[in-house]
Parts: sequence; C-alpha cells; structure tokens
Amino acid sequence: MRRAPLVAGLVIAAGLVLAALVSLVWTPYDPFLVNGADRLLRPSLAHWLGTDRMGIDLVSRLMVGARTTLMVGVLAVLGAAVVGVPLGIAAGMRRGVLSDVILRASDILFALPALLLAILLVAAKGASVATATTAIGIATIPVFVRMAHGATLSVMALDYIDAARVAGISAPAIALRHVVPNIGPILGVQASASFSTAILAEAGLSYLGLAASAATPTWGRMMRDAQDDLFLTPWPALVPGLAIALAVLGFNLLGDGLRDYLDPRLKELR
Amino acid sequence: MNIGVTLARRLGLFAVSLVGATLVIFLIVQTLPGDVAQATLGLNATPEAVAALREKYGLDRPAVVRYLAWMAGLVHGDLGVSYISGQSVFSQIRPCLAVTTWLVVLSMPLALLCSIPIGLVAALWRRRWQGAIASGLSQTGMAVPVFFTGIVLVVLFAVESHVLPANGYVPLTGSRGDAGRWFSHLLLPVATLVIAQSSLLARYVRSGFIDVLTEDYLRTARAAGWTKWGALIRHGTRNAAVSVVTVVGLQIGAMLVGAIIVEQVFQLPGLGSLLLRSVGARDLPVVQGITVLLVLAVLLLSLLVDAAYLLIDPRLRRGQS
Repeated sequence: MRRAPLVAGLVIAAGLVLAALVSLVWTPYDPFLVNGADRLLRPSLAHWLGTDRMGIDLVSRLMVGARTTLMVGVLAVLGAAVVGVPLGIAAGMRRGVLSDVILRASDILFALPALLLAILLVAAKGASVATATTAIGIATIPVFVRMAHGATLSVMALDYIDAARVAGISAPAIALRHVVPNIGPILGVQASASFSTAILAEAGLSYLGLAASAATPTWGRMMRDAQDDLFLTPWPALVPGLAIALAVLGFNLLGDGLRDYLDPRLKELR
Repeated sequence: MNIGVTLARRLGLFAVSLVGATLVIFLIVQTLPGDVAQATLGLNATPEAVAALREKYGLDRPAVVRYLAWMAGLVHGDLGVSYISGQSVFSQIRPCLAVTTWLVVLSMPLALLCSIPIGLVAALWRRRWQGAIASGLSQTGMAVPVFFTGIVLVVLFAVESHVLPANGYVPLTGSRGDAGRWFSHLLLPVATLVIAQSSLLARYVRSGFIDVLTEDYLRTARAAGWTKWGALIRHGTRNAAVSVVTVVGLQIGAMLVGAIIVEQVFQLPGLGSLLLRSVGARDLPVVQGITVLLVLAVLLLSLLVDAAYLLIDPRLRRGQS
C-alpha cells in the first residue's frame, strides 16, 4: 500500500512506452489512412475507442501520438538537465559573481512561462515539434538549476567535502565524485516531475497549433481537430484528453513514489 | 535591515528582471535565423520589396540599435507598429485587454477560495479517507490539461444540456441584457481556470498547513488550552498564508498561460487569441508587445506578492528570514 503510487506510476509509464514501441511495428488500423465511410464512429468491438472525423481508428492514432509525447518529454527534460545541472552545481560550489549571474539569469528565465517562450520561438521559426521541444527544454532549465544548486549547497556543507579539498582534489573531481552521486536521486525525482510538466506543455502547444502539423498525430492536436465536432460526438476530443491526463498523472505518481522510496521521511511533508 | 531597504532591493530586482526579460524576448524574436521581412512578405516576394520593407521597419539597422529603439519606445508606452495592419500595437491590444483581465480577475480569487477548504481537509485528515479524497481530487485536477477541462464543461453544459453558450464573448456594457450575456459567456471559461488553478493551489495549501500542524507553537497553544480549531485559526492561518502567498506569486504566470489556452478553447477575443493570431501571421511587433505586457504583469504581481509577504510576516520586516 505504501508503494502504491510508485507501482501505479511505473505501470502507467511502462504502458505508455510499450504503446509507443508497439506502434512502430503494429497498430490495429492504419493511423494515417483516411476512411470516409467510418467517420466519427462510437466505440465498438471493431474500434475500441471509436474513430475521428477522418475515419481513423483512435486507438491507432493514440499509440502513434504516444511516440511524440515521449520523444518531446525525453528530449526536453534531458536537454534541460544537461544544461541546468552543471550550472546549478557550479553555482553551488563556487559562490560569488559566477553563482549570482547563473542564479539571476535562471530566475529571469523562470519568469517566462514555457508557453510564452514557445510562442516567441514559433513566431521566429515557425511551428514544429523541434521548436516545441526546444521551448519546453529551455523553460525547464531553471528548474534543474535551482534543484541542483540547492542540493549541491547541502552536500558542500558535509565534512568529507572539506576532507577532499584538504587532500588537494580539484573542484571538477569533487563535483564528479562526490556531488553528482549525492544529488542524483533528487534530480531523478525532479526529472520525473518535469517529464509530466513537459507532457502537459507539449499537449498544450499541440492543442494551440504551435507544435506538430496536422500530419503528425499528437494528442493535443487530436483534441484541437476534434473540437469542431463536439456537437456531433464528443468522443474523439475526450479520448486523447484522458490519455494526456493519465500520462501526466502517471509521471506525477512516479515522481512522488520515487521520492517516498528514496526518502521516507519526506512522505509526511508532501 | 529595515523595511525600506528590503523594498528598495526588491524594486531593483524587479527592474533587472524586466530588462533581462525584454532582452530574452528581443533576442529570440529578432536575431534567430530567418529574415523577418522575407517571412512577412512570403517566399514569392521580389528582393526589392523585401529590401523596401526592411528599410521601412528599420530592420536594416544593427540589432543593438533596434533593441535600444524598442526599449526607448517601451519606456514611453509605445509598443511599436504592427507589420500587418500598420496600426500601433497598443491600439490592437486595447480591445483585448478587458477580456483577459476579466478572466484572470474573476478566476484567481475564486481559485483561492476553493483551494483553501480542499487543502485544509487534505492536511487535517491526511491519514484518513477524507484527506485521501481531497488529495486525489487535487492530484487529478493537476494532471488534467486545462483545455480538456474546458471541453468537458462545454460537452456537459453546452452540448448535452444547452444551459450555457459553448464559446464567444459579449462585452460588458451598460445594458442589463448585455451584463447577463457577458456573465453567461464567461461562466464556463472562469470555471475551467478555477478548476485548474485551485487543484494546484490546494496542494500547496495542504503542505502549508501540514508544516503548521507539526510546529511546536501549535502544540504549545494546545497545551495552553486552545482547541484544535482555535489554535489553528489563531496561529496557523497567518503562517500557512505565507506559503500560500508564495504559491499565488509563482502561479501568476501559469494563470496567464492558462488564460491564453482557455481563450482558445472558448474563442474569447482576448490577449491570448490576438497573440496566437499574430504568431500565425508572423506579426512580430505585436507578438513582442503582448509578451512584454504579460511578463510585465507577472513581474508586477510578484512584486506585489512580495510586498504582501512583508505585511503578513513580521519576521521578514526585520530582515530575518
């Protein structure tokens, strides 16, 4: 029972990855084939979740959409961590001008919401999955800077860091050997939380038409396209929405579960 | 450190952040690869036409000069001129301001009002089913994208039961009929934002109150004869308020972003809709203008939140945090 969130999160995340992987080799129907005869069908045995306005099977479309969701999430979070974590560690290890500049710049970036950043980028470069990923990644950097900075500060206060310094070990070596392993778990938890934020952001951008073109199936785009048919049938709009919510909930649970697993003392405070 | 110095430092930070933000906005929009004039005119434009447009809008000047000219305009309240319509950016923004402002002004207090009881229940009964339900509600509300909530509300109240309009906006004028229609058109968008925001706020209200519940002073108050609720109201509210105010400050940006999406769901002619239309048309001065305005709003409101901090928490007034 205590590990229920962790297990639930893992199951949902695994399901998402599995759906995306399977879609590479198999989907129940062709996810791109327009079929006028099967427009806006309700869920049935043949089409478990029904079909959209172009007669495309929603299960197939969802599976393919999961690929974009995962890809954007992984690339954005990984990119943000690769840039943000070293900056945060540097700011935590070396106080002074460098640390001030990094933290101040990170705060300024933090004041710019991901969506605004994406809108600016799209205005300059045009809408695409790459633009959306870049925007979400940049907007996530400050989160990792802050997290890594705070965690590094607490590690740097430990005695063995002083010992390492006295022993003449260089700062980069201390960072790699002592700081990174110590703050790793916290960053892992953060990555999971940021992943769900990224999924939500990607869905929002796709819904606003700022990410993938209509040709690439994404969950947000599916909802945008289905909204015109709400008065005919709400189904094609509701199904991708539920998929987004489930995925976000899954990675939130995974993050919370991981945190409890790594540090049971924090459970109360959550 | 007295309160004056604290406030002055905060104002300095505000100024630095604002200038930093304008720099980021300008850099992204103006110096990324791709010619603005070319993009505005399309691929079939003659080189002469492109050159003429570049000159007309001063795009042939160096980026530093363009940034300074833009900043000089901003200081005087001049947001520039639209590439597409040729009108001033502000004259395009003005009719949209009211829609977005109503949306946010009506939603934020309501979201707070809903989140406090949910968060309190989740904190007080955190080991029992009442708390689990409250936490579950807020977790679910956080996971659901705001446009999904909007669409579900449209399905329930416009498609299935025809109680409320599915989209559109009626401006608020003097007449009573308009006021009613204005209200009915805003009801679903505001409800959508409130659901999204209060779920998030409730989580912070919960952890704020859990922090308070485990504090020594609360136990002392109980020992001194205060009832559980009495102690909580007398000592807990103010302390929990500090963390709630923080979150409200952090949430302002998310709230505006939520408003942009909600405007799209319900086709409200607000700032967000104008912003997205301008992005589609690559009308960069309008995009820049609205973004600066939104960032300014976020920074100003978080400045106010920090000032509110000083009023709530006397410890900060003396400079000890």
